[in-house]
Amino acid sequence: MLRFIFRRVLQVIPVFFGSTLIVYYLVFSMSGSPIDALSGGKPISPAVVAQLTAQYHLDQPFFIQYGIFIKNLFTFNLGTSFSGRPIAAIIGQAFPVTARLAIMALAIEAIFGVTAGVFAGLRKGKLFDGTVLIASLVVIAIPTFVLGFVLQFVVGVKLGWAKPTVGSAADWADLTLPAVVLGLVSFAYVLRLTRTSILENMNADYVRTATAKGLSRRRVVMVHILRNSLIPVVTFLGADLGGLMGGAIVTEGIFNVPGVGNTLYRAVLAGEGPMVVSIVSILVLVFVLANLLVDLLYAWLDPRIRYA
Amino acid sequence: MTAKPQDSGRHPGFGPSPSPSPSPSPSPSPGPSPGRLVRRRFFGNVGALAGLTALALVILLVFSAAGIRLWGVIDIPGWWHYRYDEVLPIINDAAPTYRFPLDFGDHPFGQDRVGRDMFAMTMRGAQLSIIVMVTIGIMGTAIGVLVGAAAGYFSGAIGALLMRITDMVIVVPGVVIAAVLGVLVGHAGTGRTVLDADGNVTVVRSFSDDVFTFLQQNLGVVLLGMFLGLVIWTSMARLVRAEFLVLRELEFVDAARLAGASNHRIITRHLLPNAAGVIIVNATLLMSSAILLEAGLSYLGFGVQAPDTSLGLLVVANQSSISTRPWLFWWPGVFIVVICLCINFIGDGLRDAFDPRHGSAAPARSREAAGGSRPVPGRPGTSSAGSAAEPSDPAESAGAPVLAVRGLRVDFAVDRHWVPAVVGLDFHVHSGEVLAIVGESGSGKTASSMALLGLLAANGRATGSVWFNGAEILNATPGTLRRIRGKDIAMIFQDPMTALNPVFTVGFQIVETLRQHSAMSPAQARSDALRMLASVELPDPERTFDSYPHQLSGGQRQRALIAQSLCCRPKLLIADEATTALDVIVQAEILDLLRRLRTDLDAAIVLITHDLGVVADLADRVIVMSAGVAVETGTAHGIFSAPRHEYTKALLQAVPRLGRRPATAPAEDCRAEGPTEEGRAAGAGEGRGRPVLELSGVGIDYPGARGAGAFRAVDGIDLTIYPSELVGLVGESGSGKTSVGHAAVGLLPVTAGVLRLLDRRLDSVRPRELRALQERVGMVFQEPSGSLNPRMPVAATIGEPLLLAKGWRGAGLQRRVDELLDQVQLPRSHRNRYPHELSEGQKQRVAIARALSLSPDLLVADEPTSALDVSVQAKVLDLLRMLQRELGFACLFITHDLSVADSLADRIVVLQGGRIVEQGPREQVFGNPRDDYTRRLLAAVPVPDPDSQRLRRNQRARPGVNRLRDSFRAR
Repeated sequence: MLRFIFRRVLQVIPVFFGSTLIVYYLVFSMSGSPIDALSGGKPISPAVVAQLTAQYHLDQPFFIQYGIFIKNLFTFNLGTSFSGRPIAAIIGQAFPVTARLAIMALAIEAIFGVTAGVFAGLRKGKLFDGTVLIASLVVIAIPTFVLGFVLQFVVGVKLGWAKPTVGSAADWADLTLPAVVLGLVSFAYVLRLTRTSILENMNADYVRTATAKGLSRRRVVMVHILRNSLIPVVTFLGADLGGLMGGAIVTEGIFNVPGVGNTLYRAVLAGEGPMVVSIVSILVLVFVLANLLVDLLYAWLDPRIRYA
Repeated sequence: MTAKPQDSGRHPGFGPSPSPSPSPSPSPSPGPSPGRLVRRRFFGNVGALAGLTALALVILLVFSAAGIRLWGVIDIPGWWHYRYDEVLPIINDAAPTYRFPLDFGDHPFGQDRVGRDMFAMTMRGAQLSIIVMVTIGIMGTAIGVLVGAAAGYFSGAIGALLMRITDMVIVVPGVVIAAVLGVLVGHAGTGRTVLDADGNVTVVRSFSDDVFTFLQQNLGVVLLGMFLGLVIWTSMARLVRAEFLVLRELEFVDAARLAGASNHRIITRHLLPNAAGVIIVNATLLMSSAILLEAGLSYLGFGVQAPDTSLGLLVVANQSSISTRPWLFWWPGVFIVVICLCINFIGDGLRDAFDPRHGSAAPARSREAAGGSRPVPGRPGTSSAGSAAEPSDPAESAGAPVLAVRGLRVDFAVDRHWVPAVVGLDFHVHSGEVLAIVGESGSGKTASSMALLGLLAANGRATGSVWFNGAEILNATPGTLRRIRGKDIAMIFQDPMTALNPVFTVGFQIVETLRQHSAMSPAQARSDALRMLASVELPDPERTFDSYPHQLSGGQRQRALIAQSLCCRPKLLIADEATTALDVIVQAEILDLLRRLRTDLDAAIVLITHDLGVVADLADRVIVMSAGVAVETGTAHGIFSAPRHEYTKALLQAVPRLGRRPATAPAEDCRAEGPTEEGRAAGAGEGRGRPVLELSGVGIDYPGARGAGAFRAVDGIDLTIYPSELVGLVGESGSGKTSVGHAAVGLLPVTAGVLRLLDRRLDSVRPRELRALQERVGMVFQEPSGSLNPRMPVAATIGEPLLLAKGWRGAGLQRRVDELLDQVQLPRSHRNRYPHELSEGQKQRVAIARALSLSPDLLVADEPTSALDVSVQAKVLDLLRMLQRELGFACLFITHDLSVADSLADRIVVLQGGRIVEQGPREQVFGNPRDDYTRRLLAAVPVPDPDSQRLRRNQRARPGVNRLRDSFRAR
């Protein structure tokens, strides 16, 4: 088990360095002069240029720069943003908000998606199944910002059922609407995945055995079919959690959620290189943790998987 | 599994006589090709069809609007009249009016705030969105397929590297890449401000001004799409990789490799066509996410740049006017959703067409025909009315059968027609009696047993009458059935690996059964379960109780399953192919166990099997089924000694038997230089030509999971095959026999010792030489379906080695293929058929033809008949025997079935646990085995003759175990 975790973490090391290197390169080198990137296109004086050059070791070769950045990253010395606040503090403020949002969205998609998926699978070809399938296709077809904007406009502004925008506090209640928007898209995928999985398992031999044992339909479904069917669903949910923790840029933008996505987007717009690379590095770690979680859950759900 | 009704009506007269123009089980009629079937299913799908039509209409509208306007073909005032960037005087500026949904004035979709025609803008936006979508789709699919195929096919370092790269692309947030791409593709066109030395602010346009002007043309958008394709390929890569990992293991890939196909050819000709379904479906879905991606990027300001427009950009630009000019928001929004929805419906339709299991089409069923009242057959009114709840009901009089089946009929709905699987079946079983239902695949034996307990698949229905314990149980209420299932009637299924739920422990599943049927505490259930596990002779009940099914061996799993089915002391046990998946020695033990159960529990047993040896070993009475009808019923002794029906006779004739073939003196064979006994024993080969295949001290390892040590499948094997010699390699599962076969033809590397094929050491040959050597060997694989590429017609499959090795094409190739078809006794007209249009036996003939196409010196046949019904097996074995005599190739025949080896081989090699325990002439190994394992193996083979089987059983008798009886006494 420990060895398995160790191996997974080991696997991630090249991914971590590879992706941070890509982002570092993209942000600092592709967007014209690094000074412009650092200054965010704002007018700056030669003195500042000199200072920035020294601060970011721009006179050094690229890989040395990257090495210094990584060293700073691991010593939590992320530097400050253009506004003068420490980057670590900004990230530290944004992450809890995004985490709250992600957990709510995940709960929504998991609970409703699995339930609807199970019922659709059990009633394959019936009215409920058909309706739910078409509805899920429609949901998948709507761009997030259209969905978000319409919900914000209808539920938030017209009906006034929820706050249309989230303040800087961003507590659980404020985040309901964006969480619904975020959850809806994945809800459709969870539903379809659960349905497919249920259908696949319904004809499995062990289900026949369970029925032949005299178990009730409910027990056969809830214990024998469901446990097996959840395996791919959990994998999807875990991967989705990783994505959600990365911040939903569009949704956070629409509802003005002060989360990771919003911060990252602003940093990208402003060309705040150090901030972008720092956030991305943390996202890589989150992604890794989410994947590890999925693997562990997977092994817990399916004892056939061994930590090899 | 449900019976395959289309199989019924097979096997008309079969017999061992190899007829020159065979009619082996008239093949399934040449149905539609796979492609046509997919097309038919796709166009039969209402949603997909609607999506396709709507999408076509949208595309026509969107692009014709442009064409008409731009090229000035027609100039209708109003519709298509304006350019998308033309600023027009706003009609009624003070209070914008617009009659939703369509304004039939000058501007059907209204005007935006500056007066541009919204219809023209929406059309232009849709154009760009569709162009971007298609470019992203093509680009993403291309990269994804390329990366996925490579990662799946080369699973080693290359695969790992590619997967890590995929991870990297997934990890880097799209917005970062998009921002940078935006800079490249045109975002910089908006310029940036710089403070110069004098303190003036100037706008500096960056290098991509040219690209910016390009963007006004469509090429810029195509470029954008291509860049975005660089981001979005990851899901496709993962799916294709997963598909390739599965396909790669199929035998037709090995066959292609053996035929001399290069990696490139294997990927493009064999793997990709079979992954096409997955790729097409996901390419479709990729397009729908592409259009959303473009919209999202436009929303963020990284996509298409103003003044040009895309649907996403339009929606974003007009969000703020949702309360004043809602149409500005709704129309582009509707277009995005409609396009996406159409694609999703098409994708869904494609997926269902390629893989119909997931479709939402309901199985045709008309249950009403099955239920209801039906005449109860003449049974004395022992109406103890389903009081099956009493376990120790002694009401069973000695004479009354436990189970009486009358006029049972089972149908399956196939394409909205009822296809009969079982017709008019009558039988009855008494306590302590074993009734065997024998038949080949498609005979309806399993369907009939499933019908008894209402376990038919959803598309099945059963009519007739089933009396159990004095009550009608066919189509009884779910509650009644539930009380009987598992308690009074228990079932054992074929494959204990899949029959037990893989995610629960054995103990959990037994306890669940116990507590379902009687109120008992968990502790009591546990102790009962442990006792049951002990009673089926599981060595360590405690450990087994806490084990998951995959942690047990096949035999242990089957014992656990039996323990579960017996835990409520059933009156009737239905064993459906209960020993088919087991090795002979384990099978013999399980059969012994079942035999003891019958006496100990006084239960009735219905034994469903295809194996006449098993029948002879256990059954008191036998029903022979063919094509859904019981053709003969009688006592076991009667059926075996004096079969009356033609089918039964032919079936018995077809079963290979140990010791039936007379001892053949070497001189009898048509070989010029028959190997002598001494020569074989000494292993010296002078005078018989150079050995075709020579293994000395060969070991074969399978690399373990990373970190774990390698697994040694084969160890220290010495084996020599001379020209024209037929060697039978026998062993149980896991003995390494398949590894030896694969190593012999160079499909597996040898990790120890020396393997010489045609006098060349395989470990030292260069790839080119290996290919030349492989031209002189042929291989027939186990799975007839797996060893033929489903997407290749017969002629292409047979001709592939000729094409690759000899470069034959055209008429010459045709002639040779026809010749080979004649040799394996397949009609030449089958040359254009696809594998699914052939029966299993015919598929195996095609595989043999392919193996023989280059006139090999050595043929390796790896369990070529174990997936076939006995009657078909007999014919394929006859064919092999005949061809070998005719063509004189040496043959390594790998099998688990000693009877088959006995009927075919000159020399027998017995493998156990990766080592050879005995080898020698057939007469010696089977007639006078020297090794204890060989003796046990031989003793365990059930012979299809009840009398001699009883003798054999008594000979191998082991100390009796009465633990089962004791365990029940204890309760």
